[in-house]
Amino acid sequence: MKKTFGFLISIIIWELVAFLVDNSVFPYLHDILMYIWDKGIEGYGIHVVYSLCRMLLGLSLTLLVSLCLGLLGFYHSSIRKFVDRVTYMYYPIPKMALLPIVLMIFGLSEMTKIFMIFLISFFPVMINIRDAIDLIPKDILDLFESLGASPKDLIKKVIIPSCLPAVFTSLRISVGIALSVLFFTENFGTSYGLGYMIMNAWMRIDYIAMYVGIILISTMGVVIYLLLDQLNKKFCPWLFRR
Amino acid sequence: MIKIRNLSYQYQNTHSHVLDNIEFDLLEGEVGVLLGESGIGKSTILKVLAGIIKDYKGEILLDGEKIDTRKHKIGLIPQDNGLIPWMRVKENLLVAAEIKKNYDELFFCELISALKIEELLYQYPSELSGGQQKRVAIGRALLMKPKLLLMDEPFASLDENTRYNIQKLFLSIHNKYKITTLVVTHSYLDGLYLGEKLILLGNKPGKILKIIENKLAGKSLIDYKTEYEAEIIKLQRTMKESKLF
Repeated sequence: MKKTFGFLISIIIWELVAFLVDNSVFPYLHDILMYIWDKGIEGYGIHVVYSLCRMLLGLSLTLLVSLCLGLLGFYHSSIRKFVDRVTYMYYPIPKMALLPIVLMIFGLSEMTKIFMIFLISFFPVMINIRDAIDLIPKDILDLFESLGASPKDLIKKVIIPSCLPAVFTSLRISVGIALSVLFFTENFGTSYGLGYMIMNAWMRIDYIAMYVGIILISTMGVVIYLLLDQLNKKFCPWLFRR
Repeated sequence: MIKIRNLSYQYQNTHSHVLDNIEFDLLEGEVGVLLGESGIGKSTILKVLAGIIKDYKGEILLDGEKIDTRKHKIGLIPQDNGLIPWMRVKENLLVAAEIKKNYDELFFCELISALKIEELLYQYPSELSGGQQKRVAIGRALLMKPKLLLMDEPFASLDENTRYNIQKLFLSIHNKYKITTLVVTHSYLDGLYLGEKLILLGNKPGKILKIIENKLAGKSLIDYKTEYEAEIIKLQRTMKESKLF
């Protein structure tokens, strides 16, 4: 009820501001919604699919690499030390500044966009996973040692589940920054994606199409965030049962 | 039967000796209690037996064979129970038996009924009281039918009433299944109530001061109050004397 009320208030405020501004720079919300209705899924669906795939692939790559490094660091202190040093050196570097280098390596291919999402989300996720592994209670590790448990048992029953809350938290935090990077990188060497759609519409002074792009990219962020929230509840039920 | 001979251990980083020439036996089905002050090396002995510390000197034989966590079934109840927060009680109970691949459903039903935890199976550890958590930890260790049960300060965090109830429950289960058990505690009262054999640890590095066959084991604290008091005074005197040398 509260959510519906908040949503309705937002719509009213938008319409009111559009009325007060009275300029094509800030169109009415009902005009934007009509545009979406008229153009149909063919008009912008392809852009949503491209952006969504890039986001999901970039975040999946982040998750995979972070988990592997977390596990390797748990079993080999030399790898752990190496990863820590790399983190100290490279984490503070603004990742967007690396875009020209990434462009030189991967060219204008899809990999540039995916890799940039990976680059921006990697450190927060990896650091959270590493810390979550460090926080596994010693009692539990001792117990598994006393049972002569195999690494497979330990990874499956202890390490992965202990990381899950940190994975979901850091992914949720990363979604926002990853979307910003996605928007930026979709302006290089592509004709698909919501970033391209927004900037292209802006240059054509098609403000309604531009707002459609902004609404869609925002909705995509909200949907991914909510999805991660639901996955967190599904896979970490013990966190919600205190 | 467990046999410990010439067990010594020193920390690798500081080279400080923690254990010096520890020797004792525990017979099949016997409850031994390691008694001593904090920091004397009681838990270190337990960690060596549990296979957590591997770079010790000396010999540990379980039923005549060198102790090996992969081969032998060793039940460990850590000080804070070691319950896994992301597993429900049932999964926590099964985890050790699954790893050791000796889950017996009949025994599971018998055990949860004896421990009175049938109602808790689908709860998470964070939803349980201290006493309930302890009963689950005992159940998990027993379910894999261990050859040796190790308990590290198992009753330290419990209130007096719960502690007595859990100890009584433990003794009744022990009388039924007769699992060789080594309990670490700094409480003389707990030691006298539980241990058939008291192993007094003192000095630094940890040395055995005395091994006592305890006649009070399992006897009611109320009915044998005077005997308990007398024994506690004796134990305190032994500990005090050891500090003079």
